[in-house]
Amino acid sequence: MADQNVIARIRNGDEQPVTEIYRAYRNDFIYWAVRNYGITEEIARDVYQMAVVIFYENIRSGKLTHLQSSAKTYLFGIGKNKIMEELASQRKAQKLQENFRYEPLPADSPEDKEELFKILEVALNELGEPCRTVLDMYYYKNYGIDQIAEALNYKGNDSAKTQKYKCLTRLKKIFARQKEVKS
Amino acid sequence: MKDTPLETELIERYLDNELTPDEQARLEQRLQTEPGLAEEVALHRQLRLGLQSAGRSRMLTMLADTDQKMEKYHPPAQVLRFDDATRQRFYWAAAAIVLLLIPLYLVLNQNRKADKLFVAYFKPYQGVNVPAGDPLSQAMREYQQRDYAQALPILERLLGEGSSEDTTLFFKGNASLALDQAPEAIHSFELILADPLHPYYKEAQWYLALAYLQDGERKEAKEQLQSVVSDTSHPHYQEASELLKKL
Repeated sequence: MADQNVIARIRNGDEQPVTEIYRAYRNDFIYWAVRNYGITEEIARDVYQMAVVIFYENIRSGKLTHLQSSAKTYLFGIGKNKIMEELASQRKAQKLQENFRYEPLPADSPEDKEELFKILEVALNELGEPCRTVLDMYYYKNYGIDQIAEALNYKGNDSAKTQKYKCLTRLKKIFARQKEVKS
Repeated sequence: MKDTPLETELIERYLDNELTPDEQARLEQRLQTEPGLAEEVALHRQLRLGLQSAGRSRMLTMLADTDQKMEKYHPPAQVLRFDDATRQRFYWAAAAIVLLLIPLYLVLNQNRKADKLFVAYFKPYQGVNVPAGDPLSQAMREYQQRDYAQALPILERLLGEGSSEDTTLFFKGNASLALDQAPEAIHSFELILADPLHPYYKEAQWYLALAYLQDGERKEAKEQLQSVVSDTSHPHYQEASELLKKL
């Protein structure tokens, strides 16, 4: 698998290289992570999945345009950072458990965020297609309006832009309603 | 505020830091005075984060599905990997071990061969008849019954008493040899050979060679055998010649 080719394909909207690259280095990564950092196979697998996703996101956002080394080295580098975060959070959790005392959660805590994400997930399901894909392309995959127009066969950029606006407006309404239901 | 495409675009450009300084200043002023606009900006921010999180979740789910379809991960068998320097050291160590083992192997092999030859050629000298009541009679009875373990302490005791010393010493050497006690046997036969007039002198030459053989002293065994074969009338000339060739 030519690494520069992987970047080009992902830039062009092809997601197939993501699974190809996942398959190519999964076993090497798990072996390396378990052996060098003493984490479990399950955590190593989760970290690797996150590393591949970040690799994809960095290409889509334009942060990664060409590789100085191989894709494998790049992935392992992301993986290493994630393992360090995981180990730090495990240490923190252990410390918290040792010195546990009740403290009120701060406003906009991770728990609040999690709750909002869950509400949004419900709202996205209600929103349905093609809006879900349009918003995913624009806000997650960083597609330009022109790329969305081309990928989804809209008549032109204006049509795609209008569609995106309508989808976002609809999502806002559903999201607001779901929030009310929850509260 | 009015929810229009233009307003939405303005908020998105604000969140992307794409506004000109003038546009930025005007919007920030409006945010101070229009609570509805501030709420709208906050909502957009939440939705963006949520959409990004949802997109990431979808990708992770896709990879988890891919993982499920893959062959289960099995850790590879432990393989020792050496760098060049370690490999070099390993080869040198291996070579050194082989060099040390070769002589050990040769010695062990020779000893095994010597042991086989000893077993093939050693026959304890037949006993001698001694009259009943002779101090040697009990020891000789045990010896003739091949109970060398019983005979040996009696012979040693008799030697201490100075009884029938020539005969006792020779049979003590034989009993020792039969019991795999080569050093004691060598000592007995060497004492005999110190006396050229000893009645068992020629027999002691042959048995001393065998004692050396049992003790793994091939060189001494050969020298002793050569002294035997130098006498063509020696009672063990034939056997000694054969054995010498085999050594």
